[in-house]
Amino acid sequence: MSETEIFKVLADPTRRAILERLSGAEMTATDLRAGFAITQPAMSQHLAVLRGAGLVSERREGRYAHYRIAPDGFAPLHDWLARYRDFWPSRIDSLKDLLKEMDQ
Amino acid sequence: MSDAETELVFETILDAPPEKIWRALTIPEYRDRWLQKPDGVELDVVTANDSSLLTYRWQERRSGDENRIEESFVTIELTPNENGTTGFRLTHAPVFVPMAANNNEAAPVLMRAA
Repeated sequence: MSETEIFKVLADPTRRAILERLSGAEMTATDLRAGFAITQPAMSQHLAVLRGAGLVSERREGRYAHYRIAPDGFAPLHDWLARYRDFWPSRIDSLKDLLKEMDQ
Repeated sequence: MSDAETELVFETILDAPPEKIWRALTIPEYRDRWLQKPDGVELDVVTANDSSLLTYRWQERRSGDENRIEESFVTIELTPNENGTTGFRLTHAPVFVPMAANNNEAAPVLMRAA
């Protein structure tokens, strides 16, 4: 999955909140729903999208499905973050230089 | 860092008032001088609250695929300090997270200080 597609998946605030919760621990869909004002089908839909994007993996145990972060799925996003983590500091330095040259 | 980290934040103090920084951010001749955007990047302004909050849409065409445009958002927040410097906070995120724009309660305090 490309970073563009991952961005689209992450554009939804509920999905970002789900990932945030899962970054702490593996959870069942029921655990995940606690505190969210969304229905079970809506939660299932979000989890399906996150699994489809390779960001979350599912493990079946008896009648329960457990969800967790799939770290490899985040690689394109981490590449993007690394690219711009390098980019901005030099630009901010250039901005500081420009401000010194500008008239008030 | 969590695996779900999806934004970059840079903070610094700039030795200039917000109005001057605003000109460097918004006047294209000035902006091009410091920003030097990478090849294939196009910018347009999504949100502009004079001298305090600016959001650019950052569209990047990936080399090798003309149809793939990666969109992200760059938000700059300026906060004036009493000594004439300005707090500068830049957030670059692949999704647009609307900021709580200048909250109304802060405005009268700033006006009294001015």
